[in-house]
Amino acid sequence: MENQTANGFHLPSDACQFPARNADGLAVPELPPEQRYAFDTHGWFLVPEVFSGGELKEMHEFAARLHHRPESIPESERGPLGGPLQKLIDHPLVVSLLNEFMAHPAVTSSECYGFSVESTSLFYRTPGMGSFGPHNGNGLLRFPGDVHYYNAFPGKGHSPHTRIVWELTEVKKGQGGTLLVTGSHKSVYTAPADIQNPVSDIWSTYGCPAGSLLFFTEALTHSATTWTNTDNDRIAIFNLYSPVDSGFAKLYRPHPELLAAMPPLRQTLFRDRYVVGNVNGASV
Amino acid sequence: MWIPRCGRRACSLRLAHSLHRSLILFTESMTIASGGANADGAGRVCVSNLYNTVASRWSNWVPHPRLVAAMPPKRQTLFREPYAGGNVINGDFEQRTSAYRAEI
Repeated sequence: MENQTANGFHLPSDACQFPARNADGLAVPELPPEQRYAFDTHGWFLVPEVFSGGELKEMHEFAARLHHRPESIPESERGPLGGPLQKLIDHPLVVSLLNEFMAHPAVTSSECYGFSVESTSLFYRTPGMGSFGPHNGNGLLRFPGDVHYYNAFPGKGHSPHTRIVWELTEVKKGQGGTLLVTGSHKSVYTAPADIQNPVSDIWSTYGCPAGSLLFFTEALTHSATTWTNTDNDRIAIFNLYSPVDSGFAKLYRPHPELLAAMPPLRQTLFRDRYVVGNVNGASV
Repeated sequence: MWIPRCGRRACSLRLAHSLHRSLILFTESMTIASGGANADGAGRVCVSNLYNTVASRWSNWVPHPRLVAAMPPKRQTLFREPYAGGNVINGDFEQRTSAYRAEI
């Protein structure tokens, strides 16, 4: 093996096969260099209108029903992993980013994701909802045990706590979309007092059509802000990913029936929290 | 490319207690190997304990639930679930992951 030296193997080892297809059999594209650069440099980027038309309408209707009439949905499906929303959790664009910035080779194989789901939430906001509250940032300076860190090495960024937001309704810029402090995942100073002003130029934000996808590292300083768009409510799915051995919140478990009905690859997103041997289809 | 787990394994600490009343401590990020038998043929008898940070775990081993339940409360905290947010008893976790005073 070319990685072997006289006394052992080189570190790091790149002998790893990432899932080339997601649990629905869709090909996982390579993360474009522009997006890879944006995520590492800015800590966030947005992909507009990933979904549209009937597919988006179906997800929008399910999410609205989940909010307004949850009892009309079978218990096992009564959550952001139910019905047409489940495919969002390992959408090919999601897997593409997480393979690059999160997956650890030793716990990854073609049949097993190298990251886990920490939480999934439906945010349904009407005008006036959403509280401003800056948090996180300074991700290079965190001690072990604090999951809000960001590692940067020559040619490699690592975001072990990554947030992925599916905006199922239009977001008008400055009217309630998530606020982000660009680059703050790598900042070595805390922000000046103006951080407490939600309309300060410190903050970046976005506008986007329904069906758009927002990626950001949880090591970034970010905040919710009040939804002021009176033309439509905010309906967004917030998914949070963590390494397979650690997390900020307790281990997340979907309804057992829902989990059992998932394709095996998707089930690996919800495995127990530890490292050694915690991979299917690969020897460790 | 391999992704260094910045400090995580470095926080795994091994304590080996020998029945000859000695104690050895080493970081698991060190290169290590088990040694051979003693020259006098005596077997090695030791208790080897491994510690992790609270929010992560190397293996999925946990003691028997009844054993944990019988432990003093403070000792039980050694075996709590691996997560960070608020995972402290009678402590002040609030804002420990943020420089900014805010509701998270």
